Amino acid sequence: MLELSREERALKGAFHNSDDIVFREVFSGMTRTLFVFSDGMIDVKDADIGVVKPLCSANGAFTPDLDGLKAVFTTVQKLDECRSRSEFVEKVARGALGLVIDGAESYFVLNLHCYPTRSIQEPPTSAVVKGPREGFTEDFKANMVMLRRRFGSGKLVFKPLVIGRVTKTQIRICYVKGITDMRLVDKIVSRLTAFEIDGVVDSSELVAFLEERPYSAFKQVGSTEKPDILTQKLLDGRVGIIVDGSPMVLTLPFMLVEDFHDSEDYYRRPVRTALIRIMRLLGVFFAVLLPSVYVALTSYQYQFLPVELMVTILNATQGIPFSPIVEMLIALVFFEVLGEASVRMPRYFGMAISVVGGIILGETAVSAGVMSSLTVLIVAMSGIGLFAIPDEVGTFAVIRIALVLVGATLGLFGVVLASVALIARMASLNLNGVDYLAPFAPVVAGELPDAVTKLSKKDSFFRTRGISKNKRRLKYVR
Amino acid sequence: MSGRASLTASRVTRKGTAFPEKKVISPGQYALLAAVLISVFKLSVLPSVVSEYAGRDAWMCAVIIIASELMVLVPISNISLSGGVEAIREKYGKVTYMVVTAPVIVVTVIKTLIYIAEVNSFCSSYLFYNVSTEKLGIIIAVAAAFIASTGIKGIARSAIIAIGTLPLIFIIGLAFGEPSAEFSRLLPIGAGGLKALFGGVDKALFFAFDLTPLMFIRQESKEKREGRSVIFLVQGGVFAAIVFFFAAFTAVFGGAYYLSQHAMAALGSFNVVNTEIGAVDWPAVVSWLTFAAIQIALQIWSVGCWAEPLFGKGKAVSVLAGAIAATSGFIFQNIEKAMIFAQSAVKYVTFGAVIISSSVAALLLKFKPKLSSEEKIDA
Amino acid sequence: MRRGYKWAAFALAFILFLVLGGESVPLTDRAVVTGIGIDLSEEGYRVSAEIVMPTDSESKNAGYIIATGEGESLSEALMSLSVAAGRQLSLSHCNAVVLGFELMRHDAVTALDYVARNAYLSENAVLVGAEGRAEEVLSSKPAFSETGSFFLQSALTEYGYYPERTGRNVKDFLIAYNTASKGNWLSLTRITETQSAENGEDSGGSPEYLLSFAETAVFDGEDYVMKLPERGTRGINYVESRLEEGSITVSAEGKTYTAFIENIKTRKSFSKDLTATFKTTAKLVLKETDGDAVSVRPDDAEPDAGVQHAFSESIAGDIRFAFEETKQYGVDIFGLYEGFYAAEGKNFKPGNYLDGAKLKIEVELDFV
Repeated sequence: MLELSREERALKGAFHNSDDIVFREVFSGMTRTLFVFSDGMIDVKDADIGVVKPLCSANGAFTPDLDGLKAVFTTVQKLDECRSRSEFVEKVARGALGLVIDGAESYFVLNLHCYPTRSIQEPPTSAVVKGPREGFTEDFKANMVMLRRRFGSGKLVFKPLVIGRVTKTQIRICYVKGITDMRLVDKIVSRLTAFEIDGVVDSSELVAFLEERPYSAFKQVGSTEKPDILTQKLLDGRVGIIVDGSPMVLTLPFMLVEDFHDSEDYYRRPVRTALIRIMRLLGVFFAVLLPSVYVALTSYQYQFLPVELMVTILNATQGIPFSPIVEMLIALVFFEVLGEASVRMPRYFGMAISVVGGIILGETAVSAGVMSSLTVLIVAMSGIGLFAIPDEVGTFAVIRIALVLVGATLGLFGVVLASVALIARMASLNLNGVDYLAPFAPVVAGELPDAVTKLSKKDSFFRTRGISKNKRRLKYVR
Repeated sequence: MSGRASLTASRVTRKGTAFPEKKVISPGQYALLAAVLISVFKLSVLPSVVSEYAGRDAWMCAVIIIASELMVLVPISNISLSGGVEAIREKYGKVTYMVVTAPVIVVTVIKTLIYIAEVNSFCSSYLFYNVSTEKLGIIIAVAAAFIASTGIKGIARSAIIAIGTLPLIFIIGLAFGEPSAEFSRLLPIGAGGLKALFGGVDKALFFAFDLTPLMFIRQESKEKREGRSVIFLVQGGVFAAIVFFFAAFTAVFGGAYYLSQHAMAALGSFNVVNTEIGAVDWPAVVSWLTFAAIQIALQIWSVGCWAEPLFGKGKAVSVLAGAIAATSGFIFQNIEKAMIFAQSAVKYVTFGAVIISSSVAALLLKFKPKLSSEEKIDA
Repeated sequence: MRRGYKWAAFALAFILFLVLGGESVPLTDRAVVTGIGIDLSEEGYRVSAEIVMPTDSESKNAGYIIATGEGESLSEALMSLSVAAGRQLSLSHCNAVVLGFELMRHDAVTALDYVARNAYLSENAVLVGAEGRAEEVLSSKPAFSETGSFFLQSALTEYGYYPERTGRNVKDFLIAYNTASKGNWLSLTRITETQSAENGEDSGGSPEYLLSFAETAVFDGEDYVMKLPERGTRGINYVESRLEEGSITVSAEGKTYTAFIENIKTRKSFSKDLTATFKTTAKLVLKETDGDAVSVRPDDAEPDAGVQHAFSESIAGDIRFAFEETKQYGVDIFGLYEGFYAAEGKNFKPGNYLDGAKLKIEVELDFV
């Protein structure tokens, strides 16, 4: 049986007398009750009208149990019972309105969350011209709602988890019953429950626990900020992981080709999408190889350069005090720093910095003879090509620099060998039962057209191989 | 044993009789690797060497050599379809396994050294002017050992990706090149006589019968017939392509075979002076280097694969094999020394070892003891 | 393998990759040679190299210098050039090799040994002979190109194949040398000064030249034999090249007719009775006639039989001229030996096959 004064002291101790936790005693007739809540996290008006007033009006004429309180709080949608103080503290900390009744056997919490959250906006990383513009927010409940709306059949399942001793971060593992392979779900759950940690702030922190090779340069967990994209992935048999406090939802399993497909690809016509996908592939190919090949050809294998280009290079690089490799590394480092600076600068300065850094500094560097215009051009083209696949910029930027170093010492020969070694490494990865480079290697004939170009929805009969046991997604009835 | 041997085959109850899944590849990938092994090191110095002895009948030497190699592919593909040579260890024990496979491994190591010397020679003469063969040998061996460490799946799949470089040779060559070949140079057929013909075949002997690494792979297929049909269909195409290549070499170079230090790069230039896009032989150079690295990696991998059932540390042995391969540049400082060695009696030893080992292994697996019900693998 | 070992192995491999590479010498630190000329000298060989010099960073044009070196061998001469230039020569863009006339007369094939051993040069360098010294050809500033070697390359290979000139590269020359026929040839380059330079008008600096390739040097194996005039050059090119440019002018029925060449190619066939049949198909476009009155009629595209016969005879005559002129010196310019051997096999007895050979020329015209 709960004794109010003792509970108040204990709860104040549990919250360490934190300033934002409010304790408000209310009398219902002769019955003492204590409301506990976090200032700013509940709808105070709703609480007053829907909870405090009916409680006071009841004048103590209710049984201090769940059924009794449900009869009093007729407008409150969710009313739960907590058997332990720690559970009560956790729920109040997460925004519930806590209620302690003198003489009751348990604690009660009411769902009147009203904390400030970011409104639903188009995510900056996935802007589209055509297609839905909703993006996930930091509130996992809102994210769940956005997803639930897209599954009218009720087959979408959310599996709850809590991670973090201190933060008690809410995680929801979402999958579609009948499509997703339950072994994958179990594997993810076992990975996420295999450790104890103080807290998780963002979904990216969970990635390290989900990846099989956390130090690899290659991304092994997918992510998306858009509910429509997540829906497509869930329908393909993947599993989504929503983390409270993060707008980025993780998806597993991941294949490299996913990052070559943009959100808008789903909504454009196949021909246009095909052209764009091919351009992306070429863009990345050139972005990664162009700097290293340039360094290799100007340092060793000159014979592969056309005569006119050779003359242009000779003219452009005369008087430059650095060798091609040093020049290229300076330009690449400068470009990376510029990219970081423009992201971190306040918005009002960002544009100016981009102009100053990109145009003026580059121009000045060439005029001053620190680097050649050709080097600046190649680095710029490479950088633009990298951003054709924004989700893989980090990976390919690292690979690019490694290839430049190899090209500088071993020329085209080294670049070829390093590329083959890299491809072999990527091709050998099999993560969560799916080959990393599928459908290119191994060749999955049925999926290649959609990987390189785009299959019309009419012809997309099967799900991605190896992810779901339920292979067929489309069947014609007439 | 019939039916599909599954990728996710459950382990059998008897200890040591499980089929390791990591050495399983599809028939298409198997056929591709066979094509790589048959063709890569026949398209570099060999046309020039064979032309020296067989003259305009070099293409006929190619017919004989490739046909012989395809005949050896029959027992080797049977071995792969029956579980690879590891099945010999499981059925007959380590001693028999060693006796049958050790000659193959010795041959593989020797060939790896010679082939790395060939790559060294090409790179140091065509791609560089100031890198020694010793250093190049180490670099190639390191890269190949790394590729080998990714396993047979990594090797096979990188070969799949590398195929993309082949159409590039023709697209760029035919768009910017000016192919010029006189096929009348092949006439009259058989002019050199049998002596010249077999002289050419004799010179090519060392560079043939490279398919032994396939013995360590298990091929996944529903039916043996399906597996074989894919393999031999692909090899038929490779056979025709290589014969045509040798014929084209003679058609282009005629009696001046010595001008070509590397046939694929030479023909890949499509007879053109520097064009608006530069030299057009780079797709051929890149393609050949890529496949050469893959073949050397496959050979190094097979050494590790051989050692794994015996010593348990396959990857470590692969690395050791790579280290041995890295000595190629120190042993053979130039292509001439490598060719002298390859043309010595060692070519007959390698030829004999491959023929005998593959035949014996295939027979042992064909007449292996019947499996007990415990040993049958779940489909 | 534990993760630590894996990372250590990967790091070691990467470091080996970086450390074992060569010391790069960037393009800007090399003397890039775009053409070489080889002449005989007292020491042995005198090599002139056209070296590209960077100009302005904004410019797309190249400056150049001609540097010379001498030595007992070609490679020694090139080495002396490197030493004098203070930079290592790069032959990666050497697309033109010019042989001086005296060298051609004495020692052409031997001089090409160094070139043949260089994988790039043997495939990609245009080979021409000079009427005088190779150094003069390289030094001449062509009117339509920046450097002599660029002009040689573009004139002989890039801008179409004319009857009066075709390019051969080093590979073609050596392949022909290695045939049983032994007949071989090279374009001979002659320098002519431009009109303005001749008249002493201000041409803004150094005089400009035009290079003519009308004549052809003929070889029997490695021995220089004779010089064919333009008619013989045309005859060789009708047979051995696939022509897509140029024109043919004939006189018939009191008029002069000029037809542009769209395509001329020849197919050779050989029979056991030592008859070589050359079937030349020519697609021509009638462009101009020179007569008393100007009248262009729609059916003028196809001239009458007499005019067509004149064109056929012109082509056949040039071919026969080349054959007969070279035959007088015992040179099998069209490779008849190879053809008869291909037709007869072991039964072919060389003997005096060239004297007994009959050349039949069939010209098929198609006016488009």
